[in-house]
Amino acid sequence: MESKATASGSFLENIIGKPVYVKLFSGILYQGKLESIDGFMNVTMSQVSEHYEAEENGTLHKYPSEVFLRGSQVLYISEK
Amino acid sequence: MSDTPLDLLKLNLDERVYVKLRDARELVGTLQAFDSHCNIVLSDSKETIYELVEGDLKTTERFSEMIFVRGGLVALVTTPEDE
Amino acid sequence: MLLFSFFKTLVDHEVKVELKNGIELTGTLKSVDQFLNLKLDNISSNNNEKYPHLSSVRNMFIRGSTVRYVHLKKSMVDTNLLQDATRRELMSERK
Repeated sequence: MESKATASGSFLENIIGKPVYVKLFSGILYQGKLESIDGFMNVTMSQVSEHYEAEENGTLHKYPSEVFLRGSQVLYISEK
Repeated sequence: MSDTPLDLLKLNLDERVYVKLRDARELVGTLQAFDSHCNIVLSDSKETIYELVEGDLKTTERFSEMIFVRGGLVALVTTPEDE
Repeated sequence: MLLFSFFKTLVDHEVKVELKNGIELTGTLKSVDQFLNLKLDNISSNNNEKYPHLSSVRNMFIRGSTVRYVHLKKSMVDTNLLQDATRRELMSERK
């Protein structure tokens, strides 16, 4: 279903398992390993650290277990 | 093929979850239900509200035995570290 | 549909609705639709000092998108049924 050769389709499939940044509209940046993603841009990640705007600004929090992020809050996903 | 993000939430049913909302609010509770909009039902929940009052951080805690949370407010769901 | 069905089981029960603007309304849930718009009857506003204009309002139709929380009583909810319905809903959406 999501394997159509669209720009988002192939990009999103290829970065599963890779280290990524996910930024939310709130300005919070999450860094971790992308575990899964769906067509709404809902995301799950593991080994997640939380930063404000950029990783250089220090770590706000580290999440020990897998994290779900809601697609509607996602500004971008980028490969690290 | 691989699990979808919502499958992770399914694994957390009947477990304690930590939910981060918009507007500097967070909830910890037992996950009873959710749907694809991320509407969520929690039991025995504790809400923490963070506010700036005249430059000082103020936190307020509220408890609810059963609470429905509108999906649009949800930003993040994970397992709580401690309570 | 899951949460719509869930709210239908709560009709005629007393609920507390908290709106995104902070207003809290306690009343009897009279009806619900697929958008989770809610109709409340016998409303008592929990913050009359702050919102005196609501003190005379007895019933209300609330647009679902303005809702932040709905507080319920544990006794209104069969949690096992709700969890199973959640699992089934996810299966059915997968097609």
